[in-house]
Amino acid sequence: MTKLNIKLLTNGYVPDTALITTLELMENLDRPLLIEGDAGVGKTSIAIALAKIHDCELIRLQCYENLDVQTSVYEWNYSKQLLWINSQNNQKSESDINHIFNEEFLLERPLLKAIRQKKPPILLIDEIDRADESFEAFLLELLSEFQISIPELGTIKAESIPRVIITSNGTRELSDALRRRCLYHYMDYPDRERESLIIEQAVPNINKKLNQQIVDFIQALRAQDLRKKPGVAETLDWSMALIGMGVKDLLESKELISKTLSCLLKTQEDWEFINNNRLEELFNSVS
Amino acid sequence: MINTQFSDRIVEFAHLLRNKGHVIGLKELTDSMHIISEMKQPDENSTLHSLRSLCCRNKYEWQQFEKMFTSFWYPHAASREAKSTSQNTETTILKQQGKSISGIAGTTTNLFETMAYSTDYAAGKQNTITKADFRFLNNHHAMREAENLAEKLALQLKARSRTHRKIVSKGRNMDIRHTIRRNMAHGGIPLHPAFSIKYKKPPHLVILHDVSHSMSWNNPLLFRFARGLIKACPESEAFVFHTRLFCVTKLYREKSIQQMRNKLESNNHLWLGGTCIAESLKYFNQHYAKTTLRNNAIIIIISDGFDTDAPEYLASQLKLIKSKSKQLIWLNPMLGRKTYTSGNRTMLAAKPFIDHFIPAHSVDALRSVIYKMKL
Repeated sequence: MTKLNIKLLTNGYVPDTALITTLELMENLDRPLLIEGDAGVGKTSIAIALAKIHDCELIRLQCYENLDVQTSVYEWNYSKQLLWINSQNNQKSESDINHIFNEEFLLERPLLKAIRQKKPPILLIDEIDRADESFEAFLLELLSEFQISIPELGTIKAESIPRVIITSNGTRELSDALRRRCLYHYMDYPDRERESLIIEQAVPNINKKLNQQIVDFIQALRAQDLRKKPGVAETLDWSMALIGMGVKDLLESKELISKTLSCLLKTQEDWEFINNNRLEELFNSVS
Repeated sequence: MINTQFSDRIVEFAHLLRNKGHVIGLKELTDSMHIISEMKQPDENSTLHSLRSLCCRNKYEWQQFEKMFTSFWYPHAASREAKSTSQNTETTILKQQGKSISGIAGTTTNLFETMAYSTDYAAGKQNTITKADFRFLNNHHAMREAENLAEKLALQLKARSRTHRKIVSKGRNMDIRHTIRRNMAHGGIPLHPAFSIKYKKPPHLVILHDVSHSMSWNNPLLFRFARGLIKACPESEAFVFHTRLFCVTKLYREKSIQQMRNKLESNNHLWLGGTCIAESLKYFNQHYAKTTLRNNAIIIIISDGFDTDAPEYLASQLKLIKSKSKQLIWLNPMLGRKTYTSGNRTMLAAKPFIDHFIPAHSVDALRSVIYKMKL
């Protein structure tokens, strides 16, 4: 087991060997990491865990449609600029006007903040697939050269190279240019062994038998033709709900279980599909 | 330090990956060599994981990589594994040889549930589901995946018609940045305010989809694609036709795919019958053209062009449609087949009115549709 593996485990994240290798590569090559996978498989959590391990700041940029440079990189402090102009008693020269476009009036947004940290932070660019293609193009400069160009100030180079983690749920195809600048990791749902460990880490007071039964049930549920498969977050929610309701054995509390499925099934279609046809089949898969 | 023989092998491996569709540039190659040379005790797993992270760009490449890696670096182990896999894999059944065909608007779960993944499925990028002709996808999972991809692909149109901002002199939301810039000469006093307005102009699509028997192999994929287009462009309209024409816009807007399938199947009793393209288009021209066609409309006809009506009749109807719209795109699943010849009389008659004649047999083929639309 590598050092990084142990550190992640102690910080509540259970990685697989492929992820560990990719994270080590990221450290060695100073390249951003693009993680794709379904919602709820632990893409965002890895950034949080890394921030804890390196004891550094986690700077998060949540992407959305129409995200622009003013929200993600920098903005000028307009009210301060106006106040300054008015305080000059109408005696303004060209140099005064240039004065209002300097550091004093600059507001840092997540990307600029990330490259100006003395200690390399973790920069999490979450759900990049939600942002527009133009924003993706803007990121290219940052991801390859670790610098940002501000027309009024020039190019700002990174003081320290941030560890960049970009996540995507795959709702749209990302550009090849962006992909080529990143290391790639596809995060799938955890296997039995890993899922059991994750539950053990997050819900320490759970008994071994119930842990195993939950894993059996969830793995069988994921094999069904569902619109939204339950992720790790759903598994943990459900485990905590069962513990809270005093369940010790899944097979002994079948009725109660069917009532708690809202923790796992997030659409009406899936709810009907499982409740009408497959619930008994799922219980049969539980040891 | 890495020896020459080993670096040659890495270059060979990079060539293999390139042949399978991976994008391996000089950077990837040098990084791979650097990483392997830095490893204190290189083993199969760490080398596999490192090279995979460096050389893969998407889920499919990621999933295929392990097999390619093992067959290149550990050929004996790969052949053993392949032998055992082939013994366990059920015989692949092509849809054409099977007892029944896939459902109208989606694959039928039960029919293919027991089928295992074809060994060809993971053989290379050329054979992945995005490139494969949909009628040859022979297992349920791959078909479902292709359908989902087709819908997601269509939704990309939404990104193309994204919101734009415009700076104007009158409006509600003042743009402080531009206002200050504009009024520097007045000491920042906003004598000439600037306002920003958002505008979005999604294309107006009209989809005319042939659902006759000859189209049934590819229709699960094309239904999902059409559904995605309708979801991406709220003002669009969709129609299906065989010997008659029906409006299905509302059905495509159903949130649940299952409900869409059920309603499509229950509302139309003549699925999988013959085709009267010209007659159906005439019906469209008579009843729907007035409300749906306009100078910014993009018409998408999805059909293989097998028509029982006379080609001249079709040409006259297409001429009418073309005269009232901006662009006419014809998607033909037959065009993706090697055996397809352009001698079909219907298609020859239709050709003068078509702006783009595009294959529609696979997800990748559909991709070009999004980019050929004049938005």
